[in-house]
Amino acid sequence: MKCENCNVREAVVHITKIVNGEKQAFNLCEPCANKLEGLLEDDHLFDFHKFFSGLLDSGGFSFPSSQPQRTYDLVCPLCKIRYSTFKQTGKVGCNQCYETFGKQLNPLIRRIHGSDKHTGKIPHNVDSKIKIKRDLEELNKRLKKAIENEEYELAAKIRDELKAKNQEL
Amino acid sequence: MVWNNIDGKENDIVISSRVRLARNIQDKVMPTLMDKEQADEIKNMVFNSITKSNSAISHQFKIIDMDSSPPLEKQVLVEKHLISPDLAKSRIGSVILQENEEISIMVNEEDHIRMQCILPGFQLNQVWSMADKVDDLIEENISFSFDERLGYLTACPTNVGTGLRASVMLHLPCIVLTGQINSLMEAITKVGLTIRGLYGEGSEFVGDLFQISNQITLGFSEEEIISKLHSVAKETIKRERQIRKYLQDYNPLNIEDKIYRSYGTLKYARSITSEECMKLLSYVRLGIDLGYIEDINIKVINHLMIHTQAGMLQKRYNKKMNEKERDQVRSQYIRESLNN
Repeated sequence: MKCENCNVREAVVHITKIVNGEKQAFNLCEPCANKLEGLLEDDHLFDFHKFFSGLLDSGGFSFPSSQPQRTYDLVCPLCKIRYSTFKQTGKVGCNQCYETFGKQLNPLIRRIHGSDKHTGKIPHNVDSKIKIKRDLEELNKRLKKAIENEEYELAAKIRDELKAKNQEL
Repeated sequence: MVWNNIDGKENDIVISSRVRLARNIQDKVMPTLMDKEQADEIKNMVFNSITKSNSAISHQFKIIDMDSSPPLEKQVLVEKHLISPDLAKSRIGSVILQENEEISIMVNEEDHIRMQCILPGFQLNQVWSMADKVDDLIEENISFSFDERLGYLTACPTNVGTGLRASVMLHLPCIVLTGQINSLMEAITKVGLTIRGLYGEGSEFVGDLFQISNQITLGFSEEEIISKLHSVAKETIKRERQIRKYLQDYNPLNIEDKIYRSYGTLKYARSITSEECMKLLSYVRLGIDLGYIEDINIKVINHLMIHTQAGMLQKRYNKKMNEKERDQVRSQYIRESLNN
């Protein structure tokens, strides 16, 4: 058997890789296998980005759909990268990609983080509506808690704050 | 500051605390797609946002471009954890570095901006508040890519949301010595944090140094992420201390012997590899904490752990050396430091 990488030398090293239950076999000659080992040491083969873009490939993040996937043809209008490029590198080309590839990316993000709702810091110069919405959410949470604790006076106060905030929107 | 007092106590186990924030500039393509000209534009935008601000720290920074820096300089920055190995390899990347090296801002690495704050000891809240301020400062002049639902948008979806990676570096010689490191690693992974050994090549954890950090960046606030890491680190410190006490109470000879042998070797060796060096420094560090070694300050050991690395040594002696020469010079530098 010839080496699958260089197609010149005889294959002497046989590697079986199992990714997400899928078996993959490599038959390599020694120099090519050594190169592969070098890569392993360099951590390239177990690059985290590639690892999770593998999730996209395997359909691991969503149920394998019966409809044909046309996502490969998606191109981001701002940075012009293709979805297939993102799949290879695991990196988007610009902020617009999150919208362009949103349908594919969102389930992946939920899978990675277990959430798709940012609750942390907001830039100061961001649209003020985002901030008001965030405040409303916070007030609603507090209102719920106050009612649960039967602190009705506090609840009434929070409700007034809510009303005022709502008008700001 | 109250925090200082509480955290200061842990300096024997916590080497350093670090926070990194990933940010990108609205509607600019990511560094992977950039040419040099575009990269320079980003670099200047970021640099100006700091230097032209009214902040007290505005004039404390300098730019180091990767393409025009000698390899040795870059290696030293990597060894000091001021830049990533990826940035060092980049042709368009730069770092904006504070004089005291507490704040380093990588520009055009994977993201446009990756600002890092690092402080010695257990000071997670301080590093977060520092990073938060640097973030505010840059934001005064630059619009970041931000999405209401996904938060700060990053090149890799693994970093979206807060873009925050917080970490602490811990010295855990007794957890390692008693073979409990694997179960600790398992436990930490289970609570959604990451732990990895430091400086090691291959599977061995050299120097018993471990870094614990958050993996998830979305769905939790910065404070929640920091506080979780803080409490997990605190538990780990407690565990290491318990084992130290146990070893001292039940088998003091064994631990004492290990410490003094290490100290002796470091004091008299004429050639030493970086791996052996880290291993021995780890025991001497432990020896200082347990009170066996009194004439050495723990800061000297911390310093040696960083400054005996290959790049740092070559820079100190200002010449390129092969491995054999480095081992010799390393032992010499250690002897000088310990005998002073």
